[in-house]
Amino acid sequence: MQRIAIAERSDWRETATSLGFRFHTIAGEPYWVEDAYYAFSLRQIEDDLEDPTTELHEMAMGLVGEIVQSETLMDQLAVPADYRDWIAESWRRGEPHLYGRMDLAYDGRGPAKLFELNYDTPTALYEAAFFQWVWLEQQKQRGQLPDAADQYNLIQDLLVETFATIAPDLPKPLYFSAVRDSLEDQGTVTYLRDCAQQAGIDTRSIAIEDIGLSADSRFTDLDDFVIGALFKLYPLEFLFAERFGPALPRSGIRLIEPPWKTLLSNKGILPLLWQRHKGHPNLLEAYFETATSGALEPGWVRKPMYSREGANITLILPDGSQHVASGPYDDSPWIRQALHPLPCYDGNYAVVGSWVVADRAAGIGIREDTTLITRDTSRFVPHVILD
Amino acid sequence: MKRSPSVRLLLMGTVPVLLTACEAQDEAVLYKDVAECVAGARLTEDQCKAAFDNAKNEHQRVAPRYTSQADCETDFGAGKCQSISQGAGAGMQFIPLMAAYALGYYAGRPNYYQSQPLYYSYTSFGSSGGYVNSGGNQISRSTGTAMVSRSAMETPTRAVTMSRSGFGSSASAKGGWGGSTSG
Repeated sequence: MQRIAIAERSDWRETATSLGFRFHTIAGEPYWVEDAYYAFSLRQIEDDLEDPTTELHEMAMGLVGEIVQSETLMDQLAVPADYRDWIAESWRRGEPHLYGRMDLAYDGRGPAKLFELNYDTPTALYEAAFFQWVWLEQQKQRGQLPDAADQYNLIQDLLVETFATIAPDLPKPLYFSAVRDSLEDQGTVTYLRDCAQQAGIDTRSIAIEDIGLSADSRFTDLDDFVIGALFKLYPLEFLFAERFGPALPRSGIRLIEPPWKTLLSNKGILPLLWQRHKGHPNLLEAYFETATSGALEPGWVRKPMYSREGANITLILPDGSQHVASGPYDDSPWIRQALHPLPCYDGNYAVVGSWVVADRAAGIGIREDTTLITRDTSRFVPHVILD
Repeated sequence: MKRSPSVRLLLMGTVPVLLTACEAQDEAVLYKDVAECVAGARLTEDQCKAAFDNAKNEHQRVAPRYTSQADCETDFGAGKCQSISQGAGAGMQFIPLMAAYALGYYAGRPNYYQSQPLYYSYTSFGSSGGYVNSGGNQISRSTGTAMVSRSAMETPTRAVTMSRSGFGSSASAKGGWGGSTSG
């Protein structure tokens, strides 16, 4: 694994515009960066990233059936009591899921280490599945990369295939929803909607804020049509806590990701995985914080169970120096995870986002940050496989 | 190769290529009116009438709506549209006349028939014309028996909305993180 400098495509901004990539620059700061790329060998991709992704996913899926039958585990994960039956029922009915992203620390040598599962509202999808694919093709055509250069990226194929597989079981049409004013989230749901259209599915879009509720507890669109199936790029725990939340279980709505997916998006899954697979090479030691846990020690990280974008994470390096990412997610219990610093390339800390579509490892996207904690200010950098 | 042989965009970009999901087809029967239904001898007169009444009742609620009579008649033919009033301040809207009704046999629910109104659209079936339902799904070129995809026979359901903006408040409460609540 190397970070290699390369000339930008002089016309990449125009290309981005024509391909619907509107959030390549966020608040004036670059988000898509292509003056460098990460190079892997095929062996690194297959043995160190693809296979562990499959295995970690199976280990995580293996926990869901156990959690939904255990009030103790539901308590530990701070799942709101009013929604437990609904979550469990969605699992028992086998409601299909679409996708997830696990964040891995990997430096090309030792085993990749699981930081967390983003299994409810993962983003950085379009840039991984589509725009970095286009980048590779164009850079090969222009002679900047060798003909043999490849990429680990079956994400779009598997998304379209999965939509086609799960569609017959879903009410029609399928609505796609995100917060109205987030350019990034809107871009991600538009891309997913595009993939669904490619699978022949009838789709609509609606902003999260525009969803209505009828007197008989059904969710409606702006024309009062009942929303039977909803892809929501919005945290399920937010929906639970908001005014319409209590209507969810009786509304009959089908969600993607399904309710049970919130159990895996919860960082409480990390200590549970460690308890059941202690010493697994791809896991970091983790435990639930309790009243008797004491102060955070050097070499440990403290994360809220429910959080996004690296917010509210504290880590203490072995030398005692502390790094803190502030944020709004201070209203849930905490877990602690053994520190495993991200590898640093030219002053950039890189995290590998490894995608799982349905239940298959599908490809990767790499984000860099200037600090050890990958936040929403991180940048997306493409990758290639060079043997 | 470890990547997709091709990628496509329909909404975000160009290249309009469609992979079609394989979907089960069910038998449906289309009748212009109760007399044609009775002549078909599949259902009793009472069943034919009940199914027709159900479709007729649904018609005003679910028919495709137009704000201009000309647009409606372009799709459904001259003199084949009626005006409806949407209540105070909402102005006039136009819907096509009900041209037939369809009975779809529900898989897994023997003896249960669901009827829905159909409209004869001149712009459907590649402009050769045929029956469409309220969702705009093409059902069949002519009355009689047809094979129809299950989703096409599902009518959209409406319910009176009492309230909106019950979701999204956490986004503003926890905002300032790039406006994004996902990640």
